[in-house]
Amino acid sequence: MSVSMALWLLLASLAASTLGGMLGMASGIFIVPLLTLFGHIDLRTAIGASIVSVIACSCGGAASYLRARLTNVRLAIVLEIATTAGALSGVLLSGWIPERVLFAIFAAVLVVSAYQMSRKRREVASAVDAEGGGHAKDGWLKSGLHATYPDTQVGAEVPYRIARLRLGMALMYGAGLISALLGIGSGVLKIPAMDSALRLPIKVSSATSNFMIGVTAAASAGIYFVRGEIATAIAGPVALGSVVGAAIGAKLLMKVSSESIRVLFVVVLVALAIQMGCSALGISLTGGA
Amino acid sequence: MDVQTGHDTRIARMDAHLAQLLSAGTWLSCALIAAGLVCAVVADALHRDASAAVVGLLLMRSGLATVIALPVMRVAAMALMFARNRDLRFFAIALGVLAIIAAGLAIGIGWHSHVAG
Repeated sequence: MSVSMALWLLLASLAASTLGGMLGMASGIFIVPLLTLFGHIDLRTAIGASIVSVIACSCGGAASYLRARLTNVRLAIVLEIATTAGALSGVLLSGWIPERVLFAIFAAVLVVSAYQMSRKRREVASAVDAEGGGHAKDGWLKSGLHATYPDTQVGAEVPYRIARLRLGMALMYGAGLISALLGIGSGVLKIPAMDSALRLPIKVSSATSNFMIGVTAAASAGIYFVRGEIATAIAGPVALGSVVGAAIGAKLLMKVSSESIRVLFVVVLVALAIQMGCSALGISLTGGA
Repeated sequence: MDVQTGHDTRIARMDAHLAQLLSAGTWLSCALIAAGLVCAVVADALHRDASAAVVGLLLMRSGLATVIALPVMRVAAMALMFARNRDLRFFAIALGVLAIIAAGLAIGIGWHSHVAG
């Protein structure tokens, strides 16, 4: 393994992950375009490397959310049934989808992500009655998922209820599928699933989504790994750079106003979408093969 | 009230155990990958024999395997904790997640041996 290549992979993934971490995003959406468009690495190899880095970042970030008691672990395990089933379907599908179509799907996901980022996430948590009691119509499963989280601003435990679980699970199946196909954390589907369908408070949504991404990605990465489709020399530095970058990004997130960099990210996502779209059409803008 | 408090304590304890597992696992995998990367890069820079590079790749590969196994171990740990708390609904769901992952691995291994054969 050449020193320059290892260093490039390490620094590129560190930069992508720092930038992603500053906006609380998984870095896969930046790493795959970076590796394919600028590193001229084969798309499927880039997806394999990225999916491992997505797991590493999820596990690295999950501990602090768990300690802050923001993660709803029961809801996570229920939704993971849908995301892992989606990931399994994604891996099975990936062998049948031509590379150009994968580039096109990636470009579409980048455009939707840019649109989501241009709009501010709104708190849509469903109202809880004064006692925070359960509703008679809640089934055996849903009744065990409502919970509370500590709100540091209010200084008290805030109860919340889970809405539209079936719709949430359907969207999570799609998120798992997209994650396995493209090697990304798939926030593009998880954000509407968590915010609009399940109506979770944003802090709980971010923590629970991060917690689930690791298992979702592991379901597909495990298959790619036993098939021998994960290139160690590429995935190793990318995973290491991503974990370090995500930790730096999370620290910067506290200091930098996310509003000030939101516009920049929309521009970057649109630019990457155009480049990935060109790759889908067989046009190279970066001088690659 | 006591039942609710006991329930909250069990969940808080579960969160703390899972945080510990994920944190330690991430450190271990990063250390393995970093050691492997240094080995492989030094072997290349000094044009040493190929065995150092092979050791480097093996270390990195075991680090990557640890990364991939970590969330699966987390689900297995959750299944055990749900069972210990007699929370059978969520114990069964955790087993379901493990079954889907195992099915995927079985398909992957079957596919690999089919191609290799």
